[in-house]
Amino acid sequence: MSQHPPDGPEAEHVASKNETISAWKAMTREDKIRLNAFAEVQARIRQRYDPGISGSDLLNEAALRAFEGTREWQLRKISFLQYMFGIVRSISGDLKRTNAGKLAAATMSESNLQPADDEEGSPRFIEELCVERDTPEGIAIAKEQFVAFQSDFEDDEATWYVLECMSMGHSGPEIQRRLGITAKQLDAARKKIVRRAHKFFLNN
Amino acid sequence: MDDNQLKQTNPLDRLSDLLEEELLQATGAELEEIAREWAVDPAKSVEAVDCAFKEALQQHNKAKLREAMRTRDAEIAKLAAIQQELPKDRNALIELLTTRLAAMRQDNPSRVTIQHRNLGELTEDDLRGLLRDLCAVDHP
Repeated sequence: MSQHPPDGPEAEHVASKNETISAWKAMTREDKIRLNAFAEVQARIRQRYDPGISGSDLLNEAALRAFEGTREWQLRKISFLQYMFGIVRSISGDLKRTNAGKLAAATMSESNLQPADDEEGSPRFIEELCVERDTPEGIAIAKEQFVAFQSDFEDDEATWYVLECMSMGHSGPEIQRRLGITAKQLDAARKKIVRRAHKFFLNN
Repeated sequence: MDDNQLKQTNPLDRLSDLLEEELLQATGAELEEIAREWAVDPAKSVEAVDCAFKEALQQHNKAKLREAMRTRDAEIAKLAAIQQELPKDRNALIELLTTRLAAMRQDNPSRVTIQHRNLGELTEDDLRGLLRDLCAVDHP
C-alpha cells in the first residue's frame, strides 16, 4: 500500500495533470487490485440507485474527474490511492443523492421548495437539494437494503448487535463499551460482516 | 448521536467504511482472496485500472482539443468581423491607424513603439494587419 505522505507546510499543494498521470503510472499491482475491488464493491452496493452500473464505469468516471481536476488531489496530504477511493465513493454518493434527490424534488410540494423567509432566494436551491444532501428517500433505500442484510445474522446475535451499532455510527471502542465485548470479539464480528457482505451484495 | 442525526445516517456508508478498511489493510494473498470474494480477478485488475485511466485521459484530451478548436474558431470569427469593418480606402486606413495610435499613446506611451514610423510607407495589408492586431489587443 502507498505510504501516507506527512502533513507539512506544503500539504495544500494541488496535483497537476502530469502529477496525476505520474501517480497512476506509479501505482503498485496491489493498489490497482484494491482500487478495482473497491470500485466493484461500490458498484454492487449502489445497484439500487443506478441499476447496471459497473465497477469499470465508476473507475473510468473517477479517473476522468482526477484528470479534469473537478476533485483536487492535495498530494502532500493524502496518498493517490486514498484520493481515488474518495472519488469513487463520492461518485457512488452522487448516484444516491442525485437519483433519490431528483425524486424528492419532483414529489415535494411547491412550498417546501421555497427558501425560508430569512434566507436569500437562491436559484441553486433545488440543485443543492439534489446534489449536496443525503435525501430521506436515499437513506430509506439504504436502510431497506441494510435491514435485508442484517436479517442474515438472525442466527448470530452478537454480530447482529455489532452491525446494529455500526449502522448507528458508533466507533469501535463505543461498540465494545455498549456491548461489553473485547477488541478480539469485535474484530471477529467485523470479519463475519465483511465475508457475508461479499455474498449478500453479489447475490442481491 | 441524537435521534435526528440517526435518522439521517446511511447505514450502507458504515458498511462501505468497513469494506474499504479491509481492502486497505489486506496485503499479498489475503488481498487477492478478498478480491476473488468480490468476483474481481486480481490478474485482470491491473489491466482494468490502466484501461480506465487511459480511456479517461483520451476523453480528457479530446475535450481539451475540442475546447481549443472552439476558442480558435471564435478568434477567427472575431478577426474576420474586424476585417469586414476596416475601411477599403488606403488613406482612410492610415487615418484610422493614426487615430488609434494617438489614443494608445495618450493612454499609455510605453505601449506604442511604432510612433516614429512613417505609416505612408506601409502596404494596405500591413495597415490592415496592424489594425487587426490593435483590435485584438483592445478586445482580447
